[in-house]
Amino acid sequence: MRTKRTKFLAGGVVIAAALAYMIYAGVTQSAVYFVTPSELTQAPVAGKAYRLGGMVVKGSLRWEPRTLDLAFAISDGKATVPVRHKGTPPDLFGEERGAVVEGSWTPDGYFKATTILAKHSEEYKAPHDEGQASPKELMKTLKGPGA
Amino acid sequence: MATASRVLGWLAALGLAGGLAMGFGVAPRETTQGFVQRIMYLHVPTAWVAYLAFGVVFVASIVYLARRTDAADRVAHASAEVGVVFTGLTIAAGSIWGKPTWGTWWTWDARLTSVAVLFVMYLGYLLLRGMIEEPERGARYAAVLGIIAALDVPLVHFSVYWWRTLHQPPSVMKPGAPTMPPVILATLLVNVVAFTLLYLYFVTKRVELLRREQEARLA
Amino acid sequence: MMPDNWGYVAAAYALALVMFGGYWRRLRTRERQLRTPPSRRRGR
Repeated sequence: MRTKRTKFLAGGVVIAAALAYMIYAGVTQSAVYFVTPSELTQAPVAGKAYRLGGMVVKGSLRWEPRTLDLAFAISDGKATVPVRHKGTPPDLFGEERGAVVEGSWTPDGYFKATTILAKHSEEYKAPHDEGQASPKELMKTLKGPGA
Repeated sequence: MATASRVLGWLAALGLAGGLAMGFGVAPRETTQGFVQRIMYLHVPTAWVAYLAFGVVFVASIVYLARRTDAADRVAHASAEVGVVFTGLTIAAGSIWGKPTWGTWWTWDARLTSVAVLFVMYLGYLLLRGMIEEPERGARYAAVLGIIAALDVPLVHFSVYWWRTLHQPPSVMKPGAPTMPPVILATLLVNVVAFTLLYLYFVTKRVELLRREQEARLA
Repeated sequence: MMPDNWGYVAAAYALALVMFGGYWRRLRTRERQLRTPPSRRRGR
């Protein structure tokens, strides 16, 4: 009985410690999980670690598969931040989609990302849904106006 | 009681088979995420059932504190245990879903952190139940912890609105129409019903076991 | 655009099978233990 009790007590201490750490991590990190481009551009500190979140700007994405150099801009509609990264992004990453990048601001005026996370929207679509070109619509565009 | 549990078991098995058939046979390949989106039919139902399980713990614990009926305590205990299993699976399946889509197994955003806290609190609840020798005192402490821990459930749900998170906001459990086509929604709901039946099966079975354990102790 | 990633899907469903199956078996074992005469039950 004694050993069972100590085992439980030890388990309880471990759990309590984990809980305390998680609450600490939660409060310090989750409250402001990422900064927006507007917030970052207002007072950027070079060399400081940030998590930056926003939309990947359309037409900004440059990807060099041979050197793994990735460059794009992230925006919240008000401010835009240029981001550079070395490595393959997640499959879901793309233009006009949400992304969260971890890294730091450089004195050269761009954000150097170490990790790229793709955000996915709460919208799910089946093929041939609205917003997705159905075969009929595709035919229409092929035939051109007036067809 | 035993027959009710057996019927629930078969219904759950039937529902799960139907859910699998819907998830892999009927539901289409989602356009943005592709095949991997099918993890949703596992991740979302288990998450909702976990909410339900801890909601049951909350109510049963209040009933226990008010009336001191052993039955209420057994329901709370059983539901917490099954809730931990469902929460664990929600986290694991979500993590497996996160890797190919987000690009990470885990991140400390408000949704993931609050659900991790929920999981650990109910693990602590179960440890507490095992730690206290005196049944009546154990039940009382557990009821208090069960109520406090359940307060994290709304925090988990609303975390995606209250804070900036990597996790997306809800597609179904929100005001307004679900942001998914009817066939995906139907598949999801079939799975929700199936996992709810599985939860009910587990809880009735566990409650019955707890009752017999208590009888054996008193005998 | 997205690769199939079926391995992740398989892993998630396999894990579900292991966890639920494991819990179910645990309940069954306990059930059997309680059915055996009390004299043979000791420890847990």
